[in-house]
Amino acid sequence: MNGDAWSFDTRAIHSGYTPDSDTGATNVPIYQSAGFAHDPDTLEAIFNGRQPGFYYSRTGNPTVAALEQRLTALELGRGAVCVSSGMAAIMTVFCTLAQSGDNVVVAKSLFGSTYYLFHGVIASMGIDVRFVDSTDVSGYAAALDARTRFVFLEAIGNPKLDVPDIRAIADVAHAHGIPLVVDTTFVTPYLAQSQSLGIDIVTVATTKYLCGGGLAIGGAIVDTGLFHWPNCISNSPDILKTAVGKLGELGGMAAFKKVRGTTGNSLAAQNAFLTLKGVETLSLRMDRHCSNAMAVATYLDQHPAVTVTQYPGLSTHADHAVATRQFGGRYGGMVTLRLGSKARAYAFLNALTVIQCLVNLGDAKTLAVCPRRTIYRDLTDEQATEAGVYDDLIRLSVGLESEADLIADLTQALEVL
Amino acid sequence: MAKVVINGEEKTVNATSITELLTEESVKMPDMVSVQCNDKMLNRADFDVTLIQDGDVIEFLYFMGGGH
Repeated sequence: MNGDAWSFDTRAIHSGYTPDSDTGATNVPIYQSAGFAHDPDTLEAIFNGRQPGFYYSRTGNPTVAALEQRLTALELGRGAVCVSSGMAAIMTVFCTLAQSGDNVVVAKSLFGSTYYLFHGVIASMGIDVRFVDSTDVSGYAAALDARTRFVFLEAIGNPKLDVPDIRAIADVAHAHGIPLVVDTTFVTPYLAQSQSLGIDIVTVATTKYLCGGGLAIGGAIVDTGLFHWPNCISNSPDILKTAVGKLGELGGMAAFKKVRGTTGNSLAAQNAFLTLKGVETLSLRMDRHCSNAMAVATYLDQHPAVTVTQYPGLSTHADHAVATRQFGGRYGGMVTLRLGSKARAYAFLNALTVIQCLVNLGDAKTLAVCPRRTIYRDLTDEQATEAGVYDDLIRLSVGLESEADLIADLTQALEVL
Repeated sequence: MAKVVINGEEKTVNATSITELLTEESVKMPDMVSVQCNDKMLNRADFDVTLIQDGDVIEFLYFMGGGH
């Protein structure tokens, strides 16, 4: 049976690897080797792309390649490049597509480090970063011009939990001949089929739901296969022009890979192995994350001590209809609540016993953080408000524990307020 | 049969199209290979209809990221 015909769960377990022909090993071996030995003619051929192979793990590694093939299969995409973190994925895409004098159009509702990457790092490199309201489709259209290189947004804003209409924004970007780049960390390919939403390039922090256990920092870029690279190279950085000139439609991926190897944003083989194991159980875990989060959000939404509860699955959420359409009636594992003051928020966090105070997300464990003075400490009050971050806001990454135990922990922590 | 040069090596091949040539040359991940013929990049959609001619100089160029 051809792998393309497999269902999502079968691809998550089998794509990218067949049992080792020498040993029969059913798990992808961890190729813990910096370099790979070849005769000089073969080494030259691999370097020049005339023969497949590996020569140095900064530029490519068999364990990492297996994860890349599996992620490609999950997205039914053109190819994938794994990198050292989710942030590295975004930076690699940026370095490949844009150069000084260009502009990029970016949704305001972003993870704190991503906001700082665009606002504090990329904007100082001669790039005009144009922030727009993430759900305002007309705002994207108004911000685009001939020097716009790409549009970037998060599938669900972190931690605002707003949900942009991805298909509509993709249509805007494509009308200008530029790619739509979407970070799908909160939804994963299980909740969002990127091609059908018009996403050209996926960035994802594999650290989160894909790996699952809070075990390994990693990231990935997936080319969904929608974008026609030869059409977009006229004003592109040389690294992209060269790659597309040499490899055509595969040039986008080749350029991402070149940037990864050149900047050293490589994923360790051990982390790729751990992520591969996590991916095998992605759908089972995501279903539980979603059901637990819905239960937690429903509980918090009716609690008198909670002033605001945000979860795209609640029918009162402003973007509930868009989320329902885009994500197949599943809404992810992230919930936020507001408690009226920073003091009350910290008292609540200190009272939790099962739920841990931690900045990661997508773990089997339920995690809580007050992001304003941690993840978003560098933002002004105005910037934080635009990102939906407040002193009294708590972000919950709802894990896989018993729903009853989570509700009980929330109940006793709210009682101390 | 046609006498061609593939990645710098002279070969006599039975394939009549690029698609057949990828099979004959046992290319493991053909989706991850770009093909140039006589210095011209071929569109993937044309692999079936691009006929192999005597004297063609063909380059298989591998992208070694993950592809399915």
